Amino acid sequence: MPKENPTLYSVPKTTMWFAIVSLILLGSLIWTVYADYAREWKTWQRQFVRLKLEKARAELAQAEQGVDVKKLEELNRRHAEAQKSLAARRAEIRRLQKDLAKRDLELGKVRTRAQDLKQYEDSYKYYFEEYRLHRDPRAAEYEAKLGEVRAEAEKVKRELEGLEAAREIEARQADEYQAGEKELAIQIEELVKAKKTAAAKVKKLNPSLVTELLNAPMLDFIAPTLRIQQVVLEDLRDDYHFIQVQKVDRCTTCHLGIDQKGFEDAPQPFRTHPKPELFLSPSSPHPIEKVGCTVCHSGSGHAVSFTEAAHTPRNEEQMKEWQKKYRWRPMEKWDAKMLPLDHTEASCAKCHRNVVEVPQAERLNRGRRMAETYGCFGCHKIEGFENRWKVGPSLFNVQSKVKADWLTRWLADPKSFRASTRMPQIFHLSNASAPEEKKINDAAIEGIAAYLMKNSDAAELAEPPVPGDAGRGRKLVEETGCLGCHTVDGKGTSRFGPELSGLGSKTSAAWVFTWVKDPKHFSPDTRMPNLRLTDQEASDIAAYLVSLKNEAFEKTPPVRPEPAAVDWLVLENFKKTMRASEAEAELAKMSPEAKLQFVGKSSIAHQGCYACHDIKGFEEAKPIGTELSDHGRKDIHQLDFGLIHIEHTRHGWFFQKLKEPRIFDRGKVKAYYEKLRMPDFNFTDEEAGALVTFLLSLTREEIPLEMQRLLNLKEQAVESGRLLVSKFNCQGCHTLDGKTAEVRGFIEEAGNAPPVIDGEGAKVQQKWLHEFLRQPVTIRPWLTYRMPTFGFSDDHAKELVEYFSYLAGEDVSYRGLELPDVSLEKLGDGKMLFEKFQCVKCHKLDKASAMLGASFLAPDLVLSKARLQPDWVIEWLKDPQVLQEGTMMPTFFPDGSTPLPDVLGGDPQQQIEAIRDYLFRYAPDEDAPAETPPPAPVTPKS
Amino acid sequence: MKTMLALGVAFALIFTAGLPAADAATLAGKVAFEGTAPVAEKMAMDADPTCQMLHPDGAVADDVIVNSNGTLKNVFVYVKEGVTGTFPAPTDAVQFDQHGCQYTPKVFGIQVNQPLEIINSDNTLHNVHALPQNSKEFNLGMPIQGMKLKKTFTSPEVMVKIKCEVHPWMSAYAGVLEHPFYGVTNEEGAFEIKNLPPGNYVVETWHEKYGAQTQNVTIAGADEAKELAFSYKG
Amino acid sequence: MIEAVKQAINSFSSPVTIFSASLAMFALFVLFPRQITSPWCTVPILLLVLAFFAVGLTDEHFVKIVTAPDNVPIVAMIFIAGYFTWYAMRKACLNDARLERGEPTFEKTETDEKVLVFPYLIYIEFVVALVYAIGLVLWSILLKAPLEEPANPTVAPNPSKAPWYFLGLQEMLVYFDPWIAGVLFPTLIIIGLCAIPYIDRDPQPAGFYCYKQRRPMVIVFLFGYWILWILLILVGTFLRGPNWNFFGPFEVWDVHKVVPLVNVNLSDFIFIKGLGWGLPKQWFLREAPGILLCLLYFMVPTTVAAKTWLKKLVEKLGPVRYSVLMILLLSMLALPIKMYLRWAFNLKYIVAIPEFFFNI
Repeated sequence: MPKENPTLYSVPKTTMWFAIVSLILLGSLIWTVYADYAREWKTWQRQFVRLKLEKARAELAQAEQGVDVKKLEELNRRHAEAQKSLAARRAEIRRLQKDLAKRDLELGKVRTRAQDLKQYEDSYKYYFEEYRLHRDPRAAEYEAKLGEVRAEAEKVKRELEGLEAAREIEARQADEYQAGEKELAIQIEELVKAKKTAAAKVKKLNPSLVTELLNAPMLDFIAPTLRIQQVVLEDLRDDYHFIQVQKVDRCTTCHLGIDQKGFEDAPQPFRTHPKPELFLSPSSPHPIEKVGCTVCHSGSGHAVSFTEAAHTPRNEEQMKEWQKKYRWRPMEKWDAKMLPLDHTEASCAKCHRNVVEVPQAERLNRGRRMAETYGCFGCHKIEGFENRWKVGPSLFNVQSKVKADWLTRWLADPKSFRASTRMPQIFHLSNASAPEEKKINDAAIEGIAAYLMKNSDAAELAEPPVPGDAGRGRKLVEETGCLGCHTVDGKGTSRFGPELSGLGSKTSAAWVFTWVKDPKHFSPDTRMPNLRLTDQEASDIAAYLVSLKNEAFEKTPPVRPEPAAVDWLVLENFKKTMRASEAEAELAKMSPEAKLQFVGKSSIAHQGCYACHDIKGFEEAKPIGTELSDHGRKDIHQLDFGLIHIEHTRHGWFFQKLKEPRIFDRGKVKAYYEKLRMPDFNFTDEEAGALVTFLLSLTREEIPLEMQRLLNLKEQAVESGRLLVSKFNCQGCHTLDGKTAEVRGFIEEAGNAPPVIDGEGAKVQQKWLHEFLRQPVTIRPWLTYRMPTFGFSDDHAKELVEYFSYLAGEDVSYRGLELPDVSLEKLGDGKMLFEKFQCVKCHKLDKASAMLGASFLAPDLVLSKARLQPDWVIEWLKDPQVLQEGTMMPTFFPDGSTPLPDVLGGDPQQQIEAIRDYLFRYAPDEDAPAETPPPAPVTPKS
Repeated sequence: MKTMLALGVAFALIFTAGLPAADAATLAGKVAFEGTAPVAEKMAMDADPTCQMLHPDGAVADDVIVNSNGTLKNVFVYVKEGVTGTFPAPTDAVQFDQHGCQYTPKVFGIQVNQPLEIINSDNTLHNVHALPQNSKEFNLGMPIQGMKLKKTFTSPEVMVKIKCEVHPWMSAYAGVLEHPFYGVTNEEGAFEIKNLPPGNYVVETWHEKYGAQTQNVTIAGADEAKELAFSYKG
Repeated sequence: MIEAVKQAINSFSSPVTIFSASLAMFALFVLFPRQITSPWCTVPILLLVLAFFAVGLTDEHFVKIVTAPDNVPIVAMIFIAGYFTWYAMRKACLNDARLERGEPTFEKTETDEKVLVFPYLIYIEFVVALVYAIGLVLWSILLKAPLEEPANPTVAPNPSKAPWYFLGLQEMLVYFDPWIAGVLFPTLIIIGLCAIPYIDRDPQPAGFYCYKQRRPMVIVFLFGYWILWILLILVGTFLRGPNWNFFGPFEVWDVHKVVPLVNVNLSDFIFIKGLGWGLPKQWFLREAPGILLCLLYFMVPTTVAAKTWLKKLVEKLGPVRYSVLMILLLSMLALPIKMYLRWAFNLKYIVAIPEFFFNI
């Protein structure tokens, strides 16, 4: 039998616990709501509002200061007076207004009557016309009605007009009384307008109870002031690996000032974006509604917290700071982490495809140029950069150029011969630094030298037929144009071609002579052009160049490998395909000579030398480098960090690799043939950084065509022209396409430098330009620098002609010249002007006038008919300095005046046209030579 | 301290400005030449028969002209530092003539925005190619005898080279300054800078071949006549 | 000093040692439950466990693993499962003591006292439910569900771990063929659990905690529950790292760690190492020793025990139930036996028939 009212435990106590627990539960639920609503981005937005409020307050203070207090007082006083006088007239004004009201009532009535009458008129007209058409007898009736109504309407209209006129007069009167006061009120308003708007702004921004309520939990679905800002981009997609998802960039939730002016000094994240005329503003080429943020900066656009947006710290220091401040951690699984700010330009290449240089992307362009110059494309396949030229000299004839002894020392350390060489260090690097490995490297070097000596063709070297003078040769090198691409003995700045110092320690005078007379003789693909040197000139140059020696290099001990090392290398190679015992048997059969050859061939195959140099036996060999076409998106887990402790980021790995390519072998045990092979280019931090930007730009990310910067046919032609210009270094000598000529840095007198060829497309005729590029002739006899013969194919010449023409905004047609008709009189005036201006003093016209002599031989004007475009000649004669800065041609029409006011009415335009027309119709004498040979350059006496 | 000095100078200027006659501190001097005068090269003018006719005895290079009294001609002397106040450009032009296929004067001074009147007195084509770094470059053709053209320099520069492309032996130098305190040594090797207000100045001399030299000078009061001596070694 | 302790624990840790130590502790628990469940023993043990965690929480790596939102419940499981096992055993021992003294059990005494459902059941339940709710709410605020970035098919997580309730089976995969560990054993587990009421129909020791009368069943159950289930889950959660390598509690999880695995099949042992004949071509011949061994393993102990010390049991259960019991029991024991064979002899498979994808 159960006890009566038994207690298991004390209920009041339990009730107390119940109360406590309930309160705790309530607290925890409130905490839940808070945790949900207290978002990081709201804090930032509130901070931004405070920032804006500060600015608004500052504006208000400024506006208040700007208000002219005295004037305001004055106006207020006058306004008060005006109001007083109005008050005095109050009764009258009231009467006027009553009258006006009555008038309006009358007007209303009359107007209504007029409108009604119109209705009747229209109706009667319809019936009348219908009846008339159908010959209905009622037509006459309606005609009469119509007439009546019309008359009535006319009367009413008169009445209406009268009433309106009267009303106008009365209204004007009323207004007059009030006009004075109204005007003053407007003036006062003007004065305080700025202040009022500023005050209104401050009021709006000031946090108040209303804004707090609107942002409160549960109520913030109505009209919150703190809300997520996003840009939805129809055309751009995020790669979620199994699906492409439309990009939604929510960066502006925290980066609130980024597309607004006025926040250039604000702290991050509110700072205005740099270069707003280029980015984000509606009139820029990258407006934020179309482009968003993440397509350039990467990162996770749909996230709204600092960490989840995949911000990348600039360096270790900043990372620690972020870890402390924001509890930052890297977003491991989000591939497209934000690019470090240094490398933002890498994203430009996603849309700006197929261009040689992306406009305004300095660092990316630098990286690209470096990749081209250092021959990265030779070893590493990169889509879009295939079929580039080999950056190293051809080794098809190397046995005639250098000795094996030189080759081995060069291979062991190229920089010991030439510090500025682009040839990287291949052997004796950090992963081959143990003593045995050194010996093996030496064996490989010796082998390569032996192979190259045996497997290259002996070239026919021509000995200089006349003795050369090194002094003259030096002058020639400095003045003929070699410095456009080369540096020699401290002169010149161009790093396009190899530095020519120390040539005497490398090769023979015969080689230099033969080469310089015709580079394509040895190497049909070389980029070095032919300077059309005479035998004497070539001999002088050869004599000079071989006089430059590198004593230190000559003293370095030769490379002598041990036979054991050679054997070891042969065996290692054999063991790849044979058993050890078989390998040894094979080895025993080989002579030392054969072993060396074998080691050489296998080393070349192993190191991939043929990526930069033409080598016999390796014409079809495949490059050894990794494909880099998608390296901008390379999976971080597929990059081997080895045992090196650096940040696990793509850019970190690339940078480290470029600075020291073999570093990831450190601490590892690896077989010889498994070791890393990339050579060391000795990049500075800056260079490596630019190259990293370039590498990060290589992605296969698909951007829809509508968003890409597509090139029309003309722009494509310009880009292929640009590629040729880059390949042959036109900008070494000529200022062209936005780049100043390299040589203008060290040629003092602008007139002595090769011409500026910006605008060449509008200057010369296309057929002439095409032929000139294929076979240059001397145009400017005083220039010591001569335009070399590049040996352009017809296709290349055409590409260049198109390039120049499109750059100048011309169409390409290769048509001949069509000269407009001109009167004989004008021609006669032209001839007279031509003689009066004494053009012949400088411009040799033909052999006869050469007798008149000029110390400077300006371009022969006989060329103009075939060479120049008539319109250009006009611009040139107006002011040559505009088209060619620093030119020696003076202007004869300064500031639109002319020294001959009696000819052709003193009109400079007419005079210039007359000269031009004369020039283009001038027929040379029969006995004048067809082509003027280039005269020896005359050095001017200062 | 500096303000006191400035005030003092200002005071001085105010007083001296009202007394033009009293404000006639003159800086004069000679530029001597030590050593043997270099032999002047002969210049061949046969390229242009007109020029050759004007110099039947042949012409010599004029970059170094040593006067008979052992002084150097065509040395540009000017006040380099210490000038205060603004000096509006004079409206009368500096005359620059091409005569006998040579420039006259060869070395001259001109103020910023002061007009330079260029005359061609010869019956042949000359061109005047000025190569300033700080102002706009110009290259004017002057084919007609007697024609005149006006140009100005907009920024100070010491020295601006002027040359002729048709006759490469012709060269002249212009010293463009913001103030009128300059002079050029004449056949006596003497120069004179007038109306210099009191103050501390740095005076520099410039020669085409022998370079520049400086000296400090202090003008204590108005009406002072200071003598400066410079010397170049050959 | 702490470092030295950690190092010691790391070097002590290996699958063998952990398993053997656990077996030893288990044996102590079931042999001397009265002593071990008394407060004198329990409290120090609890303090020792807490000390271990305290020491561990100073190590950042340990912290990362133990406080991962997925692993926190497993840590809690140690304490919760431990508590309930202790409670049951303690009550059982106390009941046994009572029964020895001739007193009624706890349940019996409690049954005589009846109280009203409301408030005594509902009220306290309600308050506890509220406490539970608080716990869940706070947990959800403090330990957020790991909603990670979108999956990347080229990046497989390493280690790739099953949910906790399958970690025991994943651990078994180290020692057994997937067919056995993933299909056969789980089936047997389920069947076995279902079969318990049909095998053990003894009504006597039912309805109250007791140990002495139910010793074999309790031991078998606790063995299966703690050693073969919870221990393996704990090993799988905390001690298995990348590539399913074993890592001590304070060892850094190095992805590149390589441990040689040189396990050999029984048929290789017998035919190559032992007899030196070379493997027979026919799979039946080749695996005959192994198959024989397995058959013997199931038949011999069953029959021998039936004749000797389990005679009474056979009588009680009848041959069918007895056989079923023995099969299930022996299957259960096969797991630790195989594990020890692996550790001692590097034995890979007792029966290896790759032609049918069937290995034991």
